[in-house]
Amino acid sequence: MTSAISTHDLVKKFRRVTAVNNLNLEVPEGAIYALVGPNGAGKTTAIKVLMNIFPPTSGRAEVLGTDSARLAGRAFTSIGYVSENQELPGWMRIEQFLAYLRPFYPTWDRDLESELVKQLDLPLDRKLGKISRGMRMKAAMLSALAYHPKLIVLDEPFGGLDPLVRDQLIEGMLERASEATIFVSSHDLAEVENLASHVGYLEEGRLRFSEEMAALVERFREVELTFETPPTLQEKWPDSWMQVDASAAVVRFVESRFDRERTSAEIRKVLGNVRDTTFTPMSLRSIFVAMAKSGRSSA
Amino acid sequence: MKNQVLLIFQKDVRQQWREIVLSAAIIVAYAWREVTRSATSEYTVYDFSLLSELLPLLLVVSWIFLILRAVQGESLVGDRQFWVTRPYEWKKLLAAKLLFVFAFVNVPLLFLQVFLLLKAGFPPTRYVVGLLWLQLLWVLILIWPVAILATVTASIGQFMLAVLGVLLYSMIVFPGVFRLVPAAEVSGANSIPASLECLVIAGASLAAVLTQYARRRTARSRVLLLAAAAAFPIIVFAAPYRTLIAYFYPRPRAGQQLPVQIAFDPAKPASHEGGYPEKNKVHVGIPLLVSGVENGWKISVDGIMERVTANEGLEWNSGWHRSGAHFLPNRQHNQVSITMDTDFFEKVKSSPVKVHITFALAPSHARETIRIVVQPGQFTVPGDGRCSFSPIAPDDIFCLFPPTFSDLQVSARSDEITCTPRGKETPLPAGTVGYGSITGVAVGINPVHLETLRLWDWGEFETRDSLLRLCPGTPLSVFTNWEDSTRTRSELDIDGIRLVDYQLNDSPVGWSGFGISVP
Repeated sequence: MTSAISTHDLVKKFRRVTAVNNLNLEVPEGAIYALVGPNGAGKTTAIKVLMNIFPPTSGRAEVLGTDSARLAGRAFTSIGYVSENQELPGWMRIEQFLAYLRPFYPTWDRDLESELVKQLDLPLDRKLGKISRGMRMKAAMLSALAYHPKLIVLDEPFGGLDPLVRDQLIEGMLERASEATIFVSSHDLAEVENLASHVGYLEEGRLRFSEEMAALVERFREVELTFETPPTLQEKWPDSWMQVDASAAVVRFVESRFDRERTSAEIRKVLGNVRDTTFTPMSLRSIFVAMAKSGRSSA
Repeated sequence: MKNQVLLIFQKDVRQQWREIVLSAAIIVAYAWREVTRSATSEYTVYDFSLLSELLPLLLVVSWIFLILRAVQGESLVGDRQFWVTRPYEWKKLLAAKLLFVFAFVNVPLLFLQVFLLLKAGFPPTRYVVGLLWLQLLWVLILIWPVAILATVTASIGQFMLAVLGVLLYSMIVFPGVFRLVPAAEVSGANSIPASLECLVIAGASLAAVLTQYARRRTARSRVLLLAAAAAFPIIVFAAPYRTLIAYFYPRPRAGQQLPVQIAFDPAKPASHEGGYPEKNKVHVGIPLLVSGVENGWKISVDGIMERVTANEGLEWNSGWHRSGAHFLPNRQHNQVSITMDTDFFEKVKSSPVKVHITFALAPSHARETIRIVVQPGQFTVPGDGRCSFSPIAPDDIFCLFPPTFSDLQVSARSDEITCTPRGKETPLPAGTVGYGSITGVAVGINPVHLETLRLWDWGEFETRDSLLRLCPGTPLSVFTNWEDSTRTRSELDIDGIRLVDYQLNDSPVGWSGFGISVP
C-alpha cells in the first residue's frame, strides 16, 4: 500500500526547543489516521511541516508523493487543510469566501458545496469574522472538502466545539472518507477513537507508536490477577507490563502485547499459579493514560 | 482555472474599496486645492487651513495604507494564514499585489499629474519622460520601501514599529557616519561607495521580497534587510576615500590650466560673523580672491581639506569634508570657513601659522546661454518655465515649471537692472552680478513645481539684504544644459597669518551652511 504521508527522520527545532524529533511516520492511502498526544507534544508543528508552513530543520517528508518543502501552488488542489488556529478572512461573508476559493480548484463541486452548506447548517450571509468558532470551523471544513481533496489534514478540528457541531463535522468528514486519506490530530482521544483506522502517539516530539487502531486496541488489556496467597513480587517486570500494582493477593497491570496464551504463560512463569485472571479490553483513552503514566513505549 | 492574478486583485479591491474611495477622494480634494490655489492668484496664495495643508500628507498616508493592507491581505508573516495551504502561486500573488499598487497608487498619481499639467497649461505629452521619472521617484522613496516593510511585518502595529526603526536608523546612523567619516560627503569620491550601497540595498530588498513570496522565510528576509542596513556604515568606514578623492579629483597636470584661480585675500573680512555655534569648535573665515571662472561656467567645490601648521610643530588637519560652495564668474571675493577644535585654536591663535587648503573642484559649463528680459506680465524661461511677479509680494518672481530636467543658473548685472532705487536703498556697485538657480524635476505630487526666482549678490550668504531686486525690463542671462568637465583639485598655501584675526563670531540664526562665502 502506498503512503499518502511519509516522514523520514523529520526534525523541527525552534532555536533550542525540539518540537518534532526524528519523526518517522507512514500514513497509508485511504486511512483515517489520528495523530494523538498531549498538548505541546508537537502535533501541530508536525502538521505545519507537512503542509510546508514550517520548513523542516532536518529530515524530510512526502505528502502525496511531493517533498513537503516543495508543497505549494497546485499541489494544494489535492489537499484540504483545516486547523483550529487558522486565520480566515474575517471581512468576507461565507458565500464570498466560497466564491473566492472556487476558481482556485478545478475539481470544486458546486453540488457538494450546496450539500455541505445544508448539512453543516451554515449561514452564508454572515461574515467569517462575526460568526462563532464552531461556525468558522464548519466553514473552513466545507471549504476544504468541496473540491474532493485526496488528502484531508485536520489539526485539532474539534477542540472546544459543542457536541452537535463536532458530530456535524465528523459526519461531514466521514462521508468523504471513501475518497480521501484523512490525517487528524487531536489531544482528545475519545473523539478520534470511533473514527480513526490508524493511530499514532506523539509525545515530546517523538512518535511513541503508530499502528492500526484495531491492532492497538487488541494488544492492550487491563489484567487483574487474584492469588490464593500473596505472590512473590519481582524486581523487574516483563517489558510489556505497565503500571504493575500489587496489593495482598491481587496484582493488576496493563499488558501492552496481549495474546491470551502468551500472556497467560508469562503470568504463570513470573508469578506462579493464579486463582482468577481477568483480561479487560481498554479504551483508547485508558491505553494512552497508561502509556503516559508509565512513560515508556510499549512495543 | 480563472486567472489567479485577477482573482486576488478583485478580492483586494472588494476588501479595500473604502480605502480606495477615500484615497480617490483625497486625490480629488488635492487636485481641487492645487487648481483653486493657482486660480486664486497667478501662482501662489498659500492656504494655511489645516486640512488643506494636510492633504498631501493624507494622500501619502492613504497610499501607504493601501500598499500595506494589500500586501498584508495575504500576510507573508506567520503560520496561521488560510491562504498558505491554498493553491496560490507565489508569482501570481506577487503580480496581483503589484497590479493593485499600480492601479490604485501609480495610475491615480499619473492621472492627477496629467490633470495638473493640463490645468497649468503644460501639454502632458511633452513631459512623458519627466512624468515617468516622477513615478520612478515615488516608487523608490515610498512604494518600494513600504512594500518591503509590509512583506516582513504581520500587522499595522509591526509595520509602524519597523517604520520607527527605519526613521531612528536614518536619524542616528546617517549623521553619525557622516560625522565620523566626513569625506563620505564629498560627492564625486562617494560615487562608487554610494553605488555599492544602492546595489546592496536594492539586491537585499529584492531578495527579501522574493524570499518572502516564494518561501515565506521571514527571519531570513529580515536578516537580509538588517544586513543591508548594516552594510551602509560598513561600506562608508571601509571605503578608501583619500584614494578615491585622489582618483576623482586629480592634481592638475603640468601646464594644465585650472578652471579657477584661488588666492589668499590679504584684506581682513569686514564682517566677523558667520560661525554656526558648535561645541568645542571655532570657526575661522579665510578670505579668498577667486578669478579665472569663465562666463557660463560654474565650479562646484565638492570637497575641501584644511591643514594648519604652527611654528611650535603643532598641526591640525580637517581631513576631507563636504563644502557645497560654488565659484562663479565675476565673484572675486569668497571666503572659506574652517571649523577647528577650540583646543588647537587656543594654542595657536595668536601665532603666525601656515594654512594649506585643498579644494576638490567639479567644473561644469552651460552649453546654452539664453538672454531673456523680465516682463511685467508673464514671461518664459528655458525649461518651459513660466514666470511672473507675485501679486502679493511684488519683489518676488515666481516661476512654474513642468517636470523637465533643466537646471538653470540665472544671473543679472547691476548696471542692467532697471529698478529705481527706493528710499535708503543704496545703488549696487557697478559690475555686481547676482546669481540664482532653479533645479529641474522636484519630487512632489504636483508635477508643476513652483520656484522663486531670486538673485543674490552675496553668493552663499542668502540673506534678504543681499537679494537683488528685479524689475520689468531687466535682462537676465539664463545658463542651462550643463555639461560636467574634468574634475580636478587646487591647492592654496597661506603663510604667516594669525587665526585670531580671522575668527568668526557665532551667528545663531540666518546662516545657510558653511563653506565659502563672499565677505
